[in-house]
Amino acid sequence: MAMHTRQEALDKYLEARDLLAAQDISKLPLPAQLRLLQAQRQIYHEIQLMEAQAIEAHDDQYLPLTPDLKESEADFQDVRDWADKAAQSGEAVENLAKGLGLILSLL
Amino acid sequence: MKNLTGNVVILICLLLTLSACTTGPSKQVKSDIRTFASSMRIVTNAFAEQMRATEAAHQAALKENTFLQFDLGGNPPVNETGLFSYREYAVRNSLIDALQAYAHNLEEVFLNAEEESIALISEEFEEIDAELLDLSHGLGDRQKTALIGSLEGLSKVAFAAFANTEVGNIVQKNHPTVERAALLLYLDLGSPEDVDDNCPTEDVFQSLKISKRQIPLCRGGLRSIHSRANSEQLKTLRQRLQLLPKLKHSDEDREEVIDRLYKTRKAGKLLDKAMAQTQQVLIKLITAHRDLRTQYAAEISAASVKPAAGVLPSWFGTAEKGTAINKLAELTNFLPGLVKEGQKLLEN
Repeated sequence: MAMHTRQEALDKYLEARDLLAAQDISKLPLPAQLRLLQAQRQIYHEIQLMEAQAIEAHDDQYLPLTPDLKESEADFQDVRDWADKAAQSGEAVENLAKGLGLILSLL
Repeated sequence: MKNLTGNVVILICLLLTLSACTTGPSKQVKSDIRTFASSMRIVTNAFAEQMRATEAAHQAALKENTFLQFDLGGNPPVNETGLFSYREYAVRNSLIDALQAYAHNLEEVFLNAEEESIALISEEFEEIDAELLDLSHGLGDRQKTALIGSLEGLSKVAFAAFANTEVGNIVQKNHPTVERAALLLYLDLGSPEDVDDNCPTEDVFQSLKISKRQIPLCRGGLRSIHSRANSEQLKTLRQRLQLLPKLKHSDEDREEVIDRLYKTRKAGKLLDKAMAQTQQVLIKLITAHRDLRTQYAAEISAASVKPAAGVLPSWFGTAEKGTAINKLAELTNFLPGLVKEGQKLLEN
């Protein structure tokens, strides 16, 4: 049995779907109507599964990205830590400013 | 006293130079960060929901077929599995959460710092006439108040400068990951049709280019799955309409079926439009982060050049210029030194 690529298999399913869709269901006897509906259902579901598998194939590309981005949390924390230190220095500067104001008034 | 005056002059000039050099982030950077963060919030709210809605549309198409078969007296199997596993939702949601946290940090750390940055200090220094820095004239009360206010804002100045540089480094470092993540989400949303004849068939990341606010893709992804699900349900509803007089197990009349048909079509169009909008937001997000990287690359490059001596007043001595420039170059570390210097000054 010849091997088909995913795209070839998909093309064949799509072709089969179009052929079945062209059939006027109202002109068929009841058993054939049910067979047509079941065939349409199965082909439709197979096509959807193939499309979903293509999305699933991206999973492995997603996986390494999440930890990479989470590493940036530590970098942002460094900035926050520095801000805390700057705030402490700011208090010292404030006191200095008051002293300088006094000196400047004497000059 | 002369030494004291000299030190005060150095401090004042340092502050003046700071107010001139540390202009803070450009409006474009601020705008890019806000665009990036707001885009990410939209993607966070939309993507998982649209993935679930796609699965739901697929299940609705299967149900429509199942009900028609039952109404015709058939007994169809109803054992089809779902399209997406828990893992597929989980890997995407984890990445979206990480992107959202990154965007939140970027906005919070940078914009919070920026809000308290040096707009105030610059305005206050405009009140000081450089000629008055010849201290034999003394400073007026207004200038003294401005100077003190400015000194109190020094930590904020230094933080804004530090945050600017550090956030720039973070943006540079994470750009490839952010762009790839956004492209993967775009690709997962996909296209209901081949966008053009040259849609990429190999590794899309090799040839992926943003063009005219879209990325050329082959048919595929959530939009394709959803579009097919919607068409399938509509087709089955039309078959139901055709077979309506023969259906023994249905009490639905023609008007009700037609009504459902219109509603299904409308819901399909709305969801596809929403997914297309999410893709537009992803492009906006990528573009904002690209712009941000470019802006920061320029700013970091400019910051690596030492301040020219010319930025200091001409009456500033050569030795003092050297000291001041060195201090400016070590902006993030200068505060403790400044405090120490000031304390010595006060002790004298």
